[in-house]
Amino acid sequence: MSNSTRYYRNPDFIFRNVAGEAVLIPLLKDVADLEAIYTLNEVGVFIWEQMETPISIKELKQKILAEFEVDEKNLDQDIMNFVVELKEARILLEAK
Amino acid sequence: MTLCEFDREITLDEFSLNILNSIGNDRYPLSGTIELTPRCNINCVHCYINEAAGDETIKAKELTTSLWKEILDQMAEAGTFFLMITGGEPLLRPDFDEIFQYARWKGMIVTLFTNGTMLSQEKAQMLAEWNLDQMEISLYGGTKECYEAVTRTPGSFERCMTGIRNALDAGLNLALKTIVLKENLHELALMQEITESFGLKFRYDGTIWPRLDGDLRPLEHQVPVQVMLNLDYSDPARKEAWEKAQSLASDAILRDERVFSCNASVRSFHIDAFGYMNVCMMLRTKKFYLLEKTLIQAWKEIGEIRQWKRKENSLCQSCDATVFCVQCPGFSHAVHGDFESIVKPICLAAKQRKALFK
Repeated sequence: MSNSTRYYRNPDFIFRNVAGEAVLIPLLKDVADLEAIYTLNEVGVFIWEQMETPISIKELKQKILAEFEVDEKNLDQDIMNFVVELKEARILLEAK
Repeated sequence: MTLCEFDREITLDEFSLNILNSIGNDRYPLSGTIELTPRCNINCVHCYINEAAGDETIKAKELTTSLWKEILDQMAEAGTFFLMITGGEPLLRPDFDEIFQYARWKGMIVTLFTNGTMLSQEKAQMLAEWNLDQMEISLYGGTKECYEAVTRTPGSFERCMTGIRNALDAGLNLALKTIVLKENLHELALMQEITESFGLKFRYDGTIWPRLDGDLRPLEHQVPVQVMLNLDYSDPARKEAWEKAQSLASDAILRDERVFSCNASVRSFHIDAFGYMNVCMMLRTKKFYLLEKTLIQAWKEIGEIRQWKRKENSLCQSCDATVFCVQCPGFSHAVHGDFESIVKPICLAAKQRKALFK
């Protein structure tokens, strides 16, 4: 995994915002069942919106810094954690 | 801003609690019930809604697939997260798969109520594949004779058992339930045994409703109140549940000057097969046509109905047995034709239940 690898949303996960609570719901069981779902915070929702088309971690970092007042020091690691976790859950896919 | 967690793995139950915390005391159309058809392939003696499966007049009035999709679009837009699909028998609709799958595409968590008699292997597998969250099948008896005395449909018991097995084979999250009737009371224990043999949860209810068209004949099948009370008292789980209700809300007066001091249309709504949003599933006289107004408009107008004040003071407003009571405007209307009259057998049952679990 490098900063230039590009990721995008798995279309088999549906994003919902219910009463201000954001969540990703798997469509089909062969992707995931409903036992565990993923909620997103404000930054997580922003990242999800950027991932409609493939985007790299480096590009994501720039967009987040432009949108939010955040501490840059840990941002790479935070984005990496997000991508790794959601990639393992098959919510994010790696662009070829 | 803390960035440590952009995302968090969570159970559906935990997420539901988060939503409810966010909603607070506001009205919010979180859960919807859609009744795809009032038609049914069986003909239960007690049913409040069933019409003949082949009734072409009714079929012609039911919403089309595309209209259901438009309504589901509006539901998702409004924030509806939980969807219950019911009927009649919803699997009678040839477009059931398309409607169910569309709801899943909208990110809804779907529960299906069915009699199970049309649940083929293929249908059960499709439901599992598309992450149906829960299914409830109604079981009307533990033997063919008893079951079909209720459903008045030869062969329906075997088809129901096959449906249950198909649901289990597909790995669906299934529960069984029954409505206790004079015709099947003697097989209640057998139905529980059958359910346990499948490793499933079972629940039952003994409250029968008049038909939506005002026909009171279903009430002829109602088991006497005292029998239901004895069942509640002798069943450890039900006894504990009532005792818990008593301890949590002992003597609480839950009815006030509003006609609707129940939970109808606070977090949930109901849409019938013809496109009307109703105050609740059992009250269809105040309805809003979703082909003439948006779902959100209808939801707001139902909110105005919830503000109605009683025309007269009611004994319910000072009754301390309301935690045990199923009296509601829907029941009043079904029996007396208004929204406020007390339904005496319901009132009596509540008082007796309170005395029993004191």
